[in-house]
Amino acid sequence: MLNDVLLQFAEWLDTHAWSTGLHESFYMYNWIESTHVLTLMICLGMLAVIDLRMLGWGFTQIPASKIAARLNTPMMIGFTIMFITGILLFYAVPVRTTQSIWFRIKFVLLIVAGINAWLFHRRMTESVSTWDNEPKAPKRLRYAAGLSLGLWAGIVTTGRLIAYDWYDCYRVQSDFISWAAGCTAG
Amino acid sequence: MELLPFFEWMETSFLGQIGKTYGGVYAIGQSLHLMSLALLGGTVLVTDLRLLNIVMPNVSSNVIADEAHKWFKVALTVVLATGIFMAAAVAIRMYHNPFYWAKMIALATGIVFVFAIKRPLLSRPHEDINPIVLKLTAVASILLWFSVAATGRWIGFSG
Repeated sequence: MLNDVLLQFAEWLDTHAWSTGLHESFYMYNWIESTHVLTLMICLGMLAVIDLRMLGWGFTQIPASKIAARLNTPMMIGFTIMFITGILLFYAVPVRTTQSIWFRIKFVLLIVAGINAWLFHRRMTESVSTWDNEPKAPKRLRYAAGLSLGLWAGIVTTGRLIAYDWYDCYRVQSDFISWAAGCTAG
Repeated sequence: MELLPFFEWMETSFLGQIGKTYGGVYAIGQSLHLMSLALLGGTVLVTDLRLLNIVMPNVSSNVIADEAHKWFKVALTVVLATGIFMAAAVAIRMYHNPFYWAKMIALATGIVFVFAIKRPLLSRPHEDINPIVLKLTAVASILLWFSVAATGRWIGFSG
């Protein structure tokens, strides 16, 4: 049911002249994809620095609150551009992307990473005054920082795997893969 | 010097064959390359944005530069290792791709810039360095590493 709705939505997007135009424009599509990957350096790069500090693996001489607060802005700028270019990449190839198992896993990982970041931020704000200058964050925050790195590794990997057609719907797949990728009759 | 025989050898080497035969292993190599490039970008940006007084102006830039350089070296090692692995599988195609050579030139310039200019400069107390020199170093560094990433991305779109 949900797969049918998603496919109908993707097919509707696919009828847009702008979607086809974006997909067929060599320079526009590739610049959007390049921007998507380059902003990863800003967003994930800043996130990695924050998480390394929380784990006590680097930047330990800098108060945790300072590093988190000051790097949050460039990280969010990077994330916003990455998100917008990601939507445009989806818009350019809506049907295949909707039926990509890797895109679906990436989407779930993004949601989990968002929830983890929100919980991390909340816990950190509540407790940072007690450990700000300690080389390591408390255990729960360290787990959250480790999870954050793991989730983003998964997001990058699944994002990269979207380009591969091993599990595309035109191939013969197991029932589970067909269901997970949303391979309906369409 | 003719480099084509070396690239032909790379493609037939064990590393090249692994990347050619196992698509999944190649894809993991690509992902690791991207992640390490992100870490490298983070360490470069955190240092350069600090030198430009954009982030953490009240934290010592010496401390940030020293800490960031440790992780820069880790990221660069993984970038180079995964980059060699990726190039080996498609070595002959890379040899004929102008963006591959653009990236190699940008990367070599970036490495020389870091280890011959930026690091020796930033190892000194930053208060003793002309602020304009620090800012110019930061801008040059951002532009150089942006070029490395951008030319790398365009390898996939050409040839």
